[in-house]
Amino acid sequence: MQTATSIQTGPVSMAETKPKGRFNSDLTQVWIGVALIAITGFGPVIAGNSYWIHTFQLVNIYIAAAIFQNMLFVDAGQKSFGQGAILGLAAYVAAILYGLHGWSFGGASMGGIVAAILGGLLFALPALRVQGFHLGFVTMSAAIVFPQLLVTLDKWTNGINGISVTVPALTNPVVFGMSPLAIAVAVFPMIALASHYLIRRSKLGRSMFVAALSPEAARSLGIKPGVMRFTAFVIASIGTGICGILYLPTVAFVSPQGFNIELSFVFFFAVVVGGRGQMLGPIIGIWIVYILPNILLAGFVEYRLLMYGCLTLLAVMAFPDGIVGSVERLRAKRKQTGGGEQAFRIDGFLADLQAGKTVREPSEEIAVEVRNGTKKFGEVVAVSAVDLKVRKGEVHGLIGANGSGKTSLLNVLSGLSRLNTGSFMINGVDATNMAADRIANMSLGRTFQAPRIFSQLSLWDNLKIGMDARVGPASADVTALAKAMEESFGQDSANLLSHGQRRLVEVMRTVLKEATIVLFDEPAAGLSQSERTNFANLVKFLSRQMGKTVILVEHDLDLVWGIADTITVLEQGRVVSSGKPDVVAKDPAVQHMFVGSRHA
Amino acid sequence: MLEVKNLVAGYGTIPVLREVSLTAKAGEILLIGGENGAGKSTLMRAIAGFNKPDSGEILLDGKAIGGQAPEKIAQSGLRLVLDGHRVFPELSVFDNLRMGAAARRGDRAGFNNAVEEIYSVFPILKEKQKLYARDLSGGQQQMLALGQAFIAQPKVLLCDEPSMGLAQALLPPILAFLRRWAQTGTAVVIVEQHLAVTAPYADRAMIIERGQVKFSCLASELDEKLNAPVAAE
Repeated sequence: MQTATSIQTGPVSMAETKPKGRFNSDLTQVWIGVALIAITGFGPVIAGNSYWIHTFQLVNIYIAAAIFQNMLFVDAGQKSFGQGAILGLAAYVAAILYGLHGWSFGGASMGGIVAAILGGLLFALPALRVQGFHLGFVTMSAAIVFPQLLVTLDKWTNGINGISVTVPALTNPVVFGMSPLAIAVAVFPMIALASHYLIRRSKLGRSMFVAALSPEAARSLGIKPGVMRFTAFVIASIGTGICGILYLPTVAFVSPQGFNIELSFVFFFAVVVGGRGQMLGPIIGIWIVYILPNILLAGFVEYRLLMYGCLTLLAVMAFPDGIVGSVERLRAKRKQTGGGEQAFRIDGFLADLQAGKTVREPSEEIAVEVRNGTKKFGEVVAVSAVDLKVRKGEVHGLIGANGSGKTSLLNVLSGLSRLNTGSFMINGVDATNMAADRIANMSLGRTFQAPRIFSQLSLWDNLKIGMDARVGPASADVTALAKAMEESFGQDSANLLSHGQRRLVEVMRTVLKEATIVLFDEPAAGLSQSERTNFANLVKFLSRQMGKTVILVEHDLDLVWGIADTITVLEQGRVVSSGKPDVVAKDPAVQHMFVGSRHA
Repeated sequence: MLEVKNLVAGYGTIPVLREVSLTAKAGEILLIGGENGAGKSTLMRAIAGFNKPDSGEILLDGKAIGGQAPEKIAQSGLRLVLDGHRVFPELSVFDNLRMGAAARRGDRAGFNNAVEEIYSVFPILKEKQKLYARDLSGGQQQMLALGQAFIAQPKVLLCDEPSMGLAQALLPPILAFLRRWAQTGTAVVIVEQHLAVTAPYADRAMIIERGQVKFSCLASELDEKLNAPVAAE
């Protein structure tokens, strides 16, 4: 249609040599981290100094707790300032059961971890209602109240006097002069680090991340943000709880002063100073925030809190991304790949997919049906008594002026907002009151006007979110497509993509999801002429060869008329025209829309 | 008015722009086209000071502005309207327009006239002037961003994809509005994908490919120029 203005670039050669980049250094950092933990874990034992052994055991426990804080804070986006209380809860409950009630240490430990999980769930409850720093304050209040509570409940906790315990079975040396406790304390932070790495690379990790950054996008991918928050708190609580259990025999004493707010701040500061989200961050962070004031400057121990503050302030001013974060940024700057005209194109993949597929026409069955749907925002009627039928396998164009209710209608269909009156069905099932994640899991996918691209994830991980959202196993085609894309984009930065390319990434997510019904919200805005042509081919392929139902909201009328089987025109929330493209084009009610189009 | 000489800029170590030069004269519209990822937006951001140029010169009214902070460049009379409609969501539509006047204090009458003009081009903004900007649809926010820039009356206006998210029928009136605006003595640079629709309103055109200027020509010759290499193949 508009070929007159298209910029012809030759066929894309995927073989174009691109510099070998690495998107992040997580794995390297894990190995460095394991080595550093081994030094603090086994070094003092080899040196044979019992003061250092004891001190560094505590350091290692705090490193593990800071690792879980890092995961909770960055990967799951839950700003908890109260992780010290979770550690204390586990330690105290275990101390009460073991020291005061004569439970076995194993049983008491289980009790402690259960208590930590309950504490974590208590934190997760406000997280369902508030996020960000509001959540921070709620959890911080809990951490402030916790030691007071221990004093007040002295009937059970021994109050201010604390509880002394000894666990000889754990603290007597068994091999190479190391006690089981010493080994556990050296190995547990390594396990914590490895778990953090594995969780981050898993579907669960990506889902938590997406849920934290864009709850809307998460829900439309079938993820429940609330469940993700609970899960994150439970994982962090189990890990932090184990730290509490290890604390007990290491220190052999618990008292309320041991678990005041200072401890929670140490974990938080360690993450910030080390580098938010960096694997190695908590380790370096604890070294600076905890070791420096408590060990090297032990003479000024009463100024500890002041020192935590000054160190954090200095570190953050010198290294805004934290120490490891700043190093990683320099590395990423030199090693980053992606960007440019070839950063994300779909034509090459499309050609492979299309090969040998038969063409079928849309069926007469109805995939989506809206009956008399009305959606109001206060006094404003966004969608007004709309009736809409979309056949299975067809491309249904939804057009109209800005503010005519197109996106509002998509939001209703994807469950992000509810109809005030009327109803709608998806594949014959009433979905009027379904939550967005349920609708998404009925194999409905969508894109957004402002693409939800996560710059912290590599380009491939951004696409893989679509794979994660799948309802069933992947078809052979999609498996092959995913493999090709992983090879091409595994190490590319998504941050360098242009606006148009970001849209195509979102579109590709729905392809990887193999959603049977796809809603595209202005997918072609910002696409170049050749990308438009590619996109049009992709939509035709989805509809005619894969049998997907496509609802397309788009301003580029040439594009819509080129690919749609049915077109519905909205004006101020009402359907003013609907039918086959050539019929709608002649409708006098829509003539004014063609100004500036070559179609009219 | 605006002169860019051999500009090199990018993110990290790989330059996105390689030796790009352009001039935008007062009263003229320069149209910039090219594939996504070619470096058009990076060029706009580098001129407006959001990306520090690695080398090259940027002259505004003969004065070097390369490497200056964005707010300094804005005060010198250059304005960038970004794609993806950047407005202040928690301010009312009218207050958003008033934000544009921050650069021209004390000119009450001029401000009122400018607002009237914006309302006549985009009547929907007048209708919704008391609503929060976040309650506008994407396209309406784009109108508001343009309106805010107009109120600021910059010497040089950079427009990154004004059509993004706008109903197609709205593009010609917006371009006509930019045309009239340019004629009052403003240098206007438009980055656009819809070249066919935009070219008739522009004076000169330039195509960027892989971070370099592929060619520049009169806007009226753009169609012909673009088709030439295809015919040759």
